[in-house]
Order: sequence, then structure tokens, then C-alpha cells
Amino acid sequence: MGNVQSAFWERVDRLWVALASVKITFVVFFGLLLLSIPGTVILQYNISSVDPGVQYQYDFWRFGQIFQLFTSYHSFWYVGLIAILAINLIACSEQRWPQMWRLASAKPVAWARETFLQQASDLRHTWQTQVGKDEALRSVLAAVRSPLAKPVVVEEGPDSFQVFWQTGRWSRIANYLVHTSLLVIFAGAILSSLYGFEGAANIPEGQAVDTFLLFKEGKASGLEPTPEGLLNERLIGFRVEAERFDVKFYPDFPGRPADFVSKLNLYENGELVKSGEIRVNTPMTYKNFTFYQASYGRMGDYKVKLRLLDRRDPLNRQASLEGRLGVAVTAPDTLTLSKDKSPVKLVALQAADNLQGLGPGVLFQEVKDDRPVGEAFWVLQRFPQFDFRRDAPYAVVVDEVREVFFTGLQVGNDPGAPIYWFGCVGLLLGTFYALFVTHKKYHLRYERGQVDFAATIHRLPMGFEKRVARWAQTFQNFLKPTPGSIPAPSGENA
Amino acid sequence: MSLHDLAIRFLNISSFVYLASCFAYIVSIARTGKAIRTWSGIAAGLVAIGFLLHTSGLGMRWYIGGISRPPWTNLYESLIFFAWGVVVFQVYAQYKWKMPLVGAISMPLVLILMGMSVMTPNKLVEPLIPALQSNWLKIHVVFGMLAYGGFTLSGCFAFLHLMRNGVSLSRIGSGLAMIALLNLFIAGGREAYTTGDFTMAKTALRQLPDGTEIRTKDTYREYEDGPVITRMEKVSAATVPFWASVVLFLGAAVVLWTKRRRLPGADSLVSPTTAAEAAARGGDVEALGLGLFAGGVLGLVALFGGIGYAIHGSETLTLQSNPYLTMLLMMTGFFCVMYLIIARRFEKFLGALPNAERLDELSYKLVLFAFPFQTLLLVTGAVWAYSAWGRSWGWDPKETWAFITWIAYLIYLHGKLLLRWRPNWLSVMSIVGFVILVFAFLGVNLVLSGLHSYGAA
Repeated sequence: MGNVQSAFWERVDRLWVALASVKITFVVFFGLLLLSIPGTVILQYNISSVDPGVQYQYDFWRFGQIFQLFTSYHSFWYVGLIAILAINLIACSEQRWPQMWRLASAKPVAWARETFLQQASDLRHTWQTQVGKDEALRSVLAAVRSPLAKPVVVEEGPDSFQVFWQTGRWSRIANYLVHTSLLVIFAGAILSSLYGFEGAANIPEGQAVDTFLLFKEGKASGLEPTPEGLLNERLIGFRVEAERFDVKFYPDFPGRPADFVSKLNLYENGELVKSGEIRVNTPMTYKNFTFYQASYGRMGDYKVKLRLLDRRDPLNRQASLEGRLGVAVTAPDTLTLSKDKSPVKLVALQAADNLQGLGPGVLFQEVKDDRPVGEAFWVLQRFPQFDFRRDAPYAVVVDEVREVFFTGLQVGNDPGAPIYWFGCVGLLLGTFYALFVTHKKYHLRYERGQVDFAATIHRLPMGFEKRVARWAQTFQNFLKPTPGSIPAPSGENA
Repeated sequence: MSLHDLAIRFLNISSFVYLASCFAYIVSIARTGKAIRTWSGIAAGLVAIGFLLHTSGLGMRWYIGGISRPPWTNLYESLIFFAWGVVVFQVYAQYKWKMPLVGAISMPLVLILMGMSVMTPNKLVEPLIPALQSNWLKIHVVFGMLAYGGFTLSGCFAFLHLMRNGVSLSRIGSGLAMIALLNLFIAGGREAYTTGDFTMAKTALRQLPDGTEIRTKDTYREYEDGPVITRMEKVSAATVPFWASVVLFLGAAVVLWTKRRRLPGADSLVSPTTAAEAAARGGDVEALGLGLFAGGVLGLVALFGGIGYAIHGSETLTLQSNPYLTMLLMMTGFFCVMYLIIARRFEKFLGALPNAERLDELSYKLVLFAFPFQTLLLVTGAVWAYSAWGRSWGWDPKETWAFITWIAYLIYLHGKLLLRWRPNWLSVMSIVGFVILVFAFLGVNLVLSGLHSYGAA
């Protein structure tokens, strides 16, 4: 029995070792490189603006459905690749860790003279000096000591010592930070895809909704489907009212929006729980819902603020009214100015932002019992006296004409976000540390006036020889070389 | 003349100065001994002048747009800014690393970018739409410039390294001929293979709201005048040169691949006998291959001539109407000409380069520099998308291709650090990465669509 078990674990062990294969890593890398491409060429559900089912012929669509081509980045083959990558990464990291840790954490040891001679000739400097041991040691330490480098001193004999220090040794295992961060990002992404959701709603100004159409929904999003609603329509548990939506355009570039902003009110159980403004790049959060200003659109509707004035006493007898296109507004009973002495009833039929260069204007029609009375008439906002020319007992002055838009909101919940942003920070720190910092070791040995100074670097020695030469120069400032003790570069040979 | 026109004039002039510097580089390759230094010095001086004009043009556009609108917010400016970044890296490499000849590879790339910017119809300094009004715009794009500029120069060094490291000249020629074939294959359009006619859009058309179509002017406002549409037309004057260059490049690819002449390595350069021996071994066949290659290049030139003949009046090639034609054929033509010149003077060109190890190191060093910035590009893009649209990663084509670029250089780094790939393979990977990068930067916007389609609300 025990044998069977140990055989089993042996097999597991062997599998684990096999999973750490670098071949797997490269197969996955090239796989990701190639398999990321189809999703950018073939239409994707919820990414492309065109539905693949509409665009492609039936045979290709069937084929694509089977191989999940239209949801490439969530397909079994793509997710499978990433899963293999994660397993491979964990296996590799686990199995290489002892070796890597030893490399990074190893305490440097003093070098034998031969080790100095083995170093590349441009990373090695040798000279004779008259300076005595104690003074040499003191001045070398004074020159070397810094917050980053903790020099180690080994007194090898009565007349000799060695000072050595290193910088950037953690860059050797900074790749662990990078790889762990990638796993953290994966974890955050999994959490988001299980519990998160993304949706959108278009709300006309002044109206409210309590459902959103989701285009991405995790299995455990916790949102209720809307009764008798669309397949992807979900109740969010409160009402979102777009109290006001404003869009400003650049004056010299018509049609190019400069800013758009929605004033939102959120009502839960009939009570106002939150209100605020959102605009592009500044979202608003309530509970675990974040609302983003994504877009806007025209509805062909206008809001009109007007005043109805009695022509005989316009200053004292007037009423302010508010209406929209196609909706009748009625003057108060005090202003019975229609032909049959009943309150005037007006409908705004049409509006324009700029009527033939004269500014905003509205086309009104007086109505009575849903039938037009007289002819429709234009009123211009910029010319308040304009309507006084019309033959009627009353005149209309327009105070405001404003186009009504719908605001395009997106709503999202991304519970994995804090986790993957944390991972991103680690990824960046790790990448910069691993690739910008190198592990450098410096050794200086003194023996009866003989100074050997050499350095090693774990990657790309390019340019490093200059830094080593600068250090040598620093030391030579106080460990003055005796004349002729620095051999010419060509003569220098181990 | 307004400041706006002056900026465009400056940028156009800088393109011509860069063109002049390209010719100076070509002369420097073709010369020997001290003349190489003289001519590469002249080229570097021209680059410096072009760079000053280039920088002041960008600066003026920044001044016009105001502090919050940096000059890299639409296609025109992106091309110019990317080119600027490549020049910055090139100038650094030329002075800091004493690599004057890298300009012979990178300057044509800059010139192509600048040429494409000249062909972009929309050159207005437009104010920003709300989604772009963010400080992330400045940060994100600057990181992109650092990453893409570094990778581009890395690719240039990789190319020089491949030449220097004794990769057969014929192999490089064969590879270039295959790339030319691929580009022709794409540029010819589907029609070429079904009916045999070369088809292209003679110009970009705009469809006005009332349904009428007008040709694009030099400068226009996309959102005002309606979308740009393309209509493919037969260009019979270009059909013969098209097929001629396809056949010739095919022949060159085959001949150069089958008979490769090992060129003398770095050390044997000094020995003229070795070079002569090597030439004798396969010289004739290679000459045939080079001849076919030259014929292919002439075919390309004739193809452009045919296109020029077919286009007249208000019809102009633009980036929007013919992304493949303008991008791929320009690049192909330029590099093929460069190759022919280098092939004639290959030994001398090699003699002017530093040793292969150093070229490999510089290429690697640039990847080490650029990769973290590519990572930053991805992360800042995600943060920005999260604050604007509430999703950090949406797999839209631009994002995905930036990710693919990242993967390509990930392969480079792991090949170098984990598998200790041979330098030649690393150089190939760096060039592959560069090609992917070009597609991520331009191809996606011109060919695929996505959120990054500049200027669209």
C-alpha cells in the first residue's frame, strides 16, 4: 500500500518537474502571440460595434460558434493557454527559487588574488602605493560608505586587507516580483469575471431608469433579471434619474463636443440616497456600482421656457410656462386671452438652435380641444418684441430653448480591481528593477602596497568599465600610485 | 501665414531635410575610408537641422493647442511624434555610443513616418474631445514614445547585427524579396488574383450627409464633412509593372535563397583573398539573384509611375484611401534600394561597423530600456480606460496589439535570459517585434477599428 502511494507521489513529482519546462513557456508565449490576433480581425461580441451573427454567413458563424471565435479572449483555447502559463509560471518559480535565492542572498566572500586576475581586463585595475595599511583601509572605507553599499572588511593578514561591497543584488530575483504580480493580476481578473458586471443605459434628460442592459456579467454578479425584460436586462435595485444633461461644443469646431456632464440622482425605496455630477474621466460610485459618462445622443426634442403676456398690460399681466416639443401648455385662468375668453393653450411644434442666422427660435401653435386655432408662428429668443407684431390679444416671449439629449451611462462593478491594480504596481516595480538595475560587485584588495581593484556585473558590461575606472580613479586619489606602477593597457595581462 | 501653417511648413521642410540626410547616408555607405566619416558627419548634421525644425514644428502646435493639448492627439501628430522619438534615440546612439551608421537604417524609417504624415489629410490642431481631456493622455503617449522609439532603434541595431554577424547577404536579400512579395500580395487587392487587374482607391472620398461624394482636400474636418470612404478602381497602367515586380521578386527570393554565398566573417575582412574566394564560390548565381532583385525594384518604381499616371487632378493618394499601398510599398521600395546599395558595397559597409557583439549588446540594451516602458504603456492605458469607461481591459484591437507587442519582446527577453538564444535569433526576434509594433501603432488604426480611432467622438 505504501509503495503504491509513494509511486503516486513520485508520478506527481515528475509531472510537477515536467510542468516547469521552459519549452511549455515558449509554446505558450508563441501561442499567445498568434492566438491574440484572430480576435482583432474577426468581429467579437461586446467588443465590435457590429454583431458577428449579423455580419457573417451562416456556415462561418456556426464554425465560429463551435470554436468560440467570436468570444476569442474568453474561449476555451485562450483561457486554457493562460491557465497553462499560470501553472508553468508557478512550477518554474517554485523549482528555481532555491537557486535564485542563493544567488541573490549569498554573502559575498573575499576573493583570492587569482580571482582578481580572472576578471575582464577593463574591469580590473592594479597599482602600487606607498600608503600604509591602516590609513589605506580608513580612506577606502570613507570613500565607499554610502546608504546603498555596506562594505565588508576582511583583514587577511597583518599587512593586507580586502574591502568588498555590492549593489543591486535583488535585481537577480526581481523577476519573482514580476511573476508573482502577474499571478495577482490573473487572480484579480478571475474575481472580476466571476463577480463583476458591465452594462449601459441611455437615459433621456429628466427621466429615470432602474434597469441596465449588461454586456458582461459574471456568474455571481448577484443582479436580478428584469421581469419580462430583455435577456440581458438587469434590475440594479435603485432608480437612476438624469436630472440634467449638458453638452458644450467647441465654437470653432461645430459638432465636436468640448464637455458633457450629467447630474444624476439616485433613489432607493423612493428616497434620494445620492446625487452628483459625472463627466468623462470622473465617474460616481454608489454601493458597488460605478457610473461612467460614456456617450450622449440627440432625441430631436427641445425644452422651451416661455412667457405669455397680455398685450394691453404686458408688464403686470404675464405668466411663465415650461414645455417640450409636442406637449401643450396652458396659461393660468387669470390670462383668459384666447378668442373665446378661455386660457390660452400652446404647443411648441418645432425648435431650432439657429433659425436662419437669427438665433434660437420656436414654432408655436395655439390649440383648442386638440384642434389648431389660427396659424402657427415663430418666436425668436433674441428678439422679445418680435411676437408683439402679430395680431393677437397676447404675445409670447421665449426665455430659453434647449435641446434635450439622452445621456449614455455605463455602469460597472469590478471587485477584482484593487487586486489587479496592486498586481500592476508590483509588475511595474519588478520590471523596472529587474531590467534597469544590475547586480554589481566591487572588490578592493591591499597587500603591502599592492592594490587590486576589480568588479563584476551580472548583465551587459557595456559602459560599466567607465564606472569601474572612475572608482579606481577615486581610490588612486588617496592610494597614490608609485610612478610606473600602472601598466599600459596593452601590457596588462593575467 | 498663420502660426498653424508655419508649423506645417516647418514639419514638411524637416521631412525634406531628413530625405537629404538619407541620401548622405547612402553616399557614406557607398564611399570608402575617410569619406565614410565625412559623409556620415554631413548626414548627422542634416539630421540635427531636421530635428530642430521638427521639434519647433511640434512646439508650435503645442503652443497653438494650449498646454492641455499636447501635439500627439490625432493621426497626423502621432506619426510626427513617433518619428521625433525615433530621431531622439538615433541622435543618442550616434553621439553617446558613437554609432553614426545606425542612422542609415533608422533615418529611412523616420522619413517614411514623416512622409506618411504629409499624406494625412487632416492636419488641423483640433481641440480635444472629452475622453482625451486627461493628464493620462500626456503620460500614456510619452511612455509609448519611449517604448516604441527604443524598440525601433533596437530593430535597427538588430538589422546591422545580422549583417555584421556574417548572415549571408543572399539570405537577407531573399528575406527582403519575400517581404516585398508579401506586401505586393496585400497591396494588389483581391481583384489582382481573380481578374489579374491591379486595383486601388485612386483617392479618398467623403460622403456628405445628403449622399453626394466629394474628393478630400488637403486639410479637412472629419466630423463635419462626413466619413471617408474608399472605392477600388482598376488601374491598368499599374497592372503590368505589378505583375512584373511580383515575378521578379519571386525569382530573386528563390535564387538568392538556394545559392547563398557565405560572406567573409568579421576577421577575414582584412584578407582580400578570402573575399575573392568567397565571391568566386557563388558570385554568378548571386549576381543573377541581385539582378532579379533590382528588376523587382524597378518594377516597383514603374508601379508607382503607373499609379501616378492613372491619378490626376484632385485625386491624391492618402493614408486613409490606401494604407497598404502607401505604407508597405514605400517601406519596401526604400529598403530594397538600400539593400541594393549595401549589397554592392557590402564588405566596405561591414568594415565601417563595430563588431557584432557590440551591435547585439546595443540592440539588447534598447530592449531592456524599452520593455518596462511598454509595460507602463499597457498599465497607464488600462488605468485611463478604467477612469473613462469603467473597464480596465476591453480587448479592443489597439489594446490587444499593444499586448501582442509586449508578448513579442517578452519572448525576446526570455529567449535571451532563459534559453540563451544565439544572437542572430535574438536579432530576428527584435525585428519581428518591430514589425508587430508598426502594426500596433499604425496598422490597427488604418486597417482595424477600435476605440483609439483618433478624432472620432
